[in-house]
Amino acid sequence: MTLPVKYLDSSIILSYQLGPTDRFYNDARRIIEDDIMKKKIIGLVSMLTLMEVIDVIRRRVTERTDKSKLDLLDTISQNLYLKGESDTKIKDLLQVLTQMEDQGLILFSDFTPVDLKQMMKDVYDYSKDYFGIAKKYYRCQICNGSFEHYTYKGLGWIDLVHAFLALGFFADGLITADKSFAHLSSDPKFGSIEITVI
Amino acid sequence: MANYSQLFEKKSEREQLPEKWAELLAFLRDSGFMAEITTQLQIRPIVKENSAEQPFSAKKLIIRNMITRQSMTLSKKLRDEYSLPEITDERVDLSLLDGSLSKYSDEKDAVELVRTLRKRS
Repeated sequence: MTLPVKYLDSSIILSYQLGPTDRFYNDARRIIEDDIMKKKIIGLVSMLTLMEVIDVIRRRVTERTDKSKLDLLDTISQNLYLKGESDTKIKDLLQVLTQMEDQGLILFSDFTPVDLKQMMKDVYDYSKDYFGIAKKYYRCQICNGSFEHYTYKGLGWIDLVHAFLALGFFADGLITADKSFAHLSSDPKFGSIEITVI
Repeated sequence: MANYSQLFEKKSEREQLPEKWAELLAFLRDSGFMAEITTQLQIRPIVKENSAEQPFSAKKLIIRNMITRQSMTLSKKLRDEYSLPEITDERVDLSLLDGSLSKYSDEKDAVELVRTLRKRS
């Protein structure tokens, strides 16, 4: 019997890499260590997922590196240092993912299998009729002080690109930690893929 | 030898191919895979449809085989680009990934980080 191929959203890989402090870590770990490593499913990693994870690593390393350490360096040295730190993490990631690919545990895919022009039209068409939710917050997201406000929450266009890529790749499922994707579960257009929100 | 009316019937049948097959042919032609299909299906054909469990989908089979084939090339390209050593050990060293970013984690979780990135894009 053929193993189900499931598209992995960036959040799954990132949660696993962020470790136990991440609130989705245990579920991401279950997906990677139990489902993929024990050959219950094959993970599908798109170049979009990979690009996002690499981008987050670079931003995260830059934002979380000790400021006093960077202050001692000139701009060029700062960039070289941060690039070196980021590249180490990115290499670790690619080392593991390519090992997994070699073992048939995951598959990489670029955009060749899909008609990008048509797919972006589908994403646009979906976006214009879709609206998420306005959610009320009581604290400022920057200073954490008291501040009542509403924020729009929902599927963005990149989320939809992931979903349409999963469709175009004929994936059996899409796994994400982002609960906005649950909306797609009830949409017949995405009926051929099982949306799993961990 | 087929007579004219038989040929005509065959042509007529071809013209009435079910829409899904016409779509498939258009897809193969437009995507430029026509010449490669035979090769695609013969290389590393790990994806096989079980018709008893799933309806047969030629397009799905072709795409899956295409992804399977290109995956190896992409993986090799990534290893070359990042100067990673050749894979000699069959074991996957998950410890390189598991929690390796923990030094850079805080109250923002993975979904929040990806959302922030997507908002900025």
